[in-house]
Amino acid sequence: MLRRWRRVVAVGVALILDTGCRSVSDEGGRHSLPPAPPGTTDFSDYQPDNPYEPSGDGVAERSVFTSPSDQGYAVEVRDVMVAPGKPQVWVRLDGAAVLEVRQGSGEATMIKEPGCEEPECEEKVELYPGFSFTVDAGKKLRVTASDEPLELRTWIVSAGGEP
Amino acid sequence: MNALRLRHTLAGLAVATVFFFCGCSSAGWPAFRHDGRRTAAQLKKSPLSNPKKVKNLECMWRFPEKGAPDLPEGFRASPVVYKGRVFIGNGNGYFYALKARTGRRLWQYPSEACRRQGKCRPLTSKLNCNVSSLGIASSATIAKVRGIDAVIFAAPDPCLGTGLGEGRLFALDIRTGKEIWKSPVIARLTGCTENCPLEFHENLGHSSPLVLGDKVYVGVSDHCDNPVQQGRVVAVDLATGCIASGFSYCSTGACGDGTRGGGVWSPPAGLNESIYITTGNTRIRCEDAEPKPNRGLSLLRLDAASGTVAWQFQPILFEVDNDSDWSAAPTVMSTRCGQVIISTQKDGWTHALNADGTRRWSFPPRRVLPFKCCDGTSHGDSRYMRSGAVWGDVYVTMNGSLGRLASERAGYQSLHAFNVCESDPKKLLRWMVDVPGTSLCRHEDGPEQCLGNPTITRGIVYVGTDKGHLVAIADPTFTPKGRWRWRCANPLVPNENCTRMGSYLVPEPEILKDVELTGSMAYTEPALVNGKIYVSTADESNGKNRGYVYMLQPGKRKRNRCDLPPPS
Repeated sequence: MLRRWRRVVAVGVALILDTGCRSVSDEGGRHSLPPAPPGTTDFSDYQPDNPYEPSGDGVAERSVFTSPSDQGYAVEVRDVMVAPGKPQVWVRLDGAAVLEVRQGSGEATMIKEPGCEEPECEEKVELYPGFSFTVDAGKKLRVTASDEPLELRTWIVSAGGEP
Repeated sequence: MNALRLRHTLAGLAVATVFFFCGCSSAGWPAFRHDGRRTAAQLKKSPLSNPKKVKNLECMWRFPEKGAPDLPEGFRASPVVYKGRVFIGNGNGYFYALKARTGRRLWQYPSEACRRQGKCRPLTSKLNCNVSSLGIASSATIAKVRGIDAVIFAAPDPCLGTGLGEGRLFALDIRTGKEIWKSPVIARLTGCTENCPLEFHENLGHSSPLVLGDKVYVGVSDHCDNPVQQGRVVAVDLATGCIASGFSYCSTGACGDGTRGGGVWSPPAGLNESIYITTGNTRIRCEDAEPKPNRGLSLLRLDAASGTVAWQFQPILFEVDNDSDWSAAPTVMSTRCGQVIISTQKDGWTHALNADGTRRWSFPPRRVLPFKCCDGTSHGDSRYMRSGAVWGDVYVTMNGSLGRLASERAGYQSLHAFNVCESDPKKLLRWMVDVPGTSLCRHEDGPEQCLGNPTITRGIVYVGTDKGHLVAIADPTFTPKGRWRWRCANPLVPNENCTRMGSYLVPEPEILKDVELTGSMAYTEPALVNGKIYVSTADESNGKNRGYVYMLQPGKRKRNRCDLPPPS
C-alpha cells in the first residue's frame, strides 16, 4: 500500500515538473528551414528602392550617382552584377571606366579593337575582391563570374554637354 | 516507521519541486538582454509566444501616465523587470521603480525630498555630446547584494570627484530605493573642453553592468570620441562596490599609459569564468601609429578573475579602421554545435565564433579575414549597433545584408535571422524582413538609427523602431508552408530576378502586430515578462523632449491609459 502511494506521488510530481519545465524550456529554433521550391513565385511585397535591373542575359545594373553633364564631361557611378554560371557577358561602359571588384571573383576580358576576335586583341585579367582596373573609352568588356554573383563598382567618365 | 518514511519522501519531493521550479523558471527580465549571456530570450511560455494572442496586443499603461506632466528627457536605457517591479533610468538623471501591473511610481533615485533639501542632484553629466551622455543611458541589472535584492546601474554623478558627472555604479535596494553602495569613480571626467587631450572624458554611457560571480563588470568608453579615451573594463566587488583590484583590462597599450582607443561601449557578457566584450576604434588620426597591443575593433574573451585576454577576434586591420566601433553586445549561445559567441559589428558584418575564438562564419560571407586595405570593403561609422537575440540555434540581428558591399545602408531597416550551426553559406540566412514603421534609413539622406534591439520569446521576435512602432514578427515555422512568402537574400535584387542573378530566396516572416507608441525605440529593447511587454521610448519629434515607459499585453482592452497617437 505504502509503495503504491509512493509510486503515485512520484509519478504526480514528475508530471508537475514536466509540465512546469516544458513552459520554461524551449526546443524550438534548432532546425533550418527548407529552401524555396524550384520555380517559386510566391514573392513577398518587398521591392528594393534602387534595384539591380537586368541589362542583358546574366547581367544587372544600378546607377548610384550621376554628375551633371554640362561641364564638358559626365561621371556616373554604376554597380554591375554578373550572375555566375554564364559564359562571358558583355558589360556596357559608355566611356572610360575605373572598375573595382566589390564581391565575388571571375575573369574579365577587354577587347582592344571592336570586331577583332584574335587573341592579341584581347587582354584578360583575373578578378577578385578589391581588384581594380581601367578600361579605355571605346573598348569593350566581357566578364565571367565564378561560383557566386560578381559585383563591380564602376566609375565611368564620358563626354558630356558643352562646358 | 513506514509512515515516517512516507512523510520524509513526500517532504523531500515537495522540497525538490520548489527547488526545481525556482531553478528552471526565469524570474522576469533581470538584465539588459535578459541575462548575463545577453540572449535577449524569454524562454517561459506566455501569450507573447502565441501568434494568435499576439495579434491582440494592447497598451495597458504608460509612465508618466496620461495627464501627468511629461519627464523633461527621453529614455535611452531599457527597462528591467523583477518581482513585479520595473526599473529604469531616464535622461533627466533620475532612476525610477514602477509597479509592473499599473505603472505607478514606487520610488525614484535621487528622491525628490533629497533633491529639495539640496543634498542630492540628478545623475547627469556636464559633458553632453550625444545620447550616451544624457543622464542615465545604462540599463540596470538585478543581483543579490549582501542578501538584499538590489538593482545596479551605471550613471554620471555630479556629487562625485570633479563635480562634472564622473561615472560610477550604484546599487539600490529594490524595495525602497535606498543606497546599498556607490562605487568610487569608474569613468573619469576632469574637464569639458572639447577634444582636450589633457582631460579625461571617460563615459559609462550605454554599457550595462554585468554581474558574474562576486563581481560587477562595466565597460568604459568616452563622450562621442571627444577625444577618444583608453577603453577599459572595470570590476567592482558585488558586496561592497569597491574596485576589484585583481582585475585589470585596457584595450590599448598599458593601463594608464595615455594610449587611446578600444572603448568598451557595449555591455559585457559573461558565462562561468569568462567575460566577453566588444571594443571601439583605435585609429584616431590617419598619421597615428598602431598602439601595441591593439585590442580595438575586436570581440574578446577575458578571464573574469584577472582581465587577462584569453583570445581576441579582430576582423578589421588597423589600416582600415575608419571608426567602425563594435558597439553591439556579444552574445553567448549554447547550440547543438557547441558554445558560439556572436555579435554584429558596426560595419554590418555578423561574426560567429567558436568557444576557442576561432571563426565559424561571417555574414555577408567572407572567406578571408581580416579586412585590409583595398579589398573592396569599407569599415566606417555605419550604424549596425544593436545587439541580437537567441532562439535555440537561431540568432536574430541587424546585418548589412548581401547588399552591404554595394550600399552601406542596405540592411538598416531589416532584421536577419541566422542558422548559427549551418556551414553552407547559403543556408546561414534563415529569414529576413523589413521592419515596418521605420524612417527611410536606407536612403543616403535619411536618418541612421531605425531599429532598436530585438528580443524574442519562443520564436516570436519583438523590436521597436525609431518612429515609435513596436513590431511582433513570427518565425516562419508558425506559418503553414503553403503560405510562406519569399524574398531575395540580396535586398538590392528584385525578387523575380533573384535566382536568375545567382542569389537565393529566403522566407519573409509574418508581421503579427504593429503597435504605434509615442517616441523612438531605436536605443531600447522590449522586455518580455509573464505575457507582458515593457518598453521605453524617447520622443524628440517636433522639438519635444520627453519619453515614456509602456506596458502592453495581449487581449485585454481597457480604457486608453496610454494616450496612444492616432495611427499614421
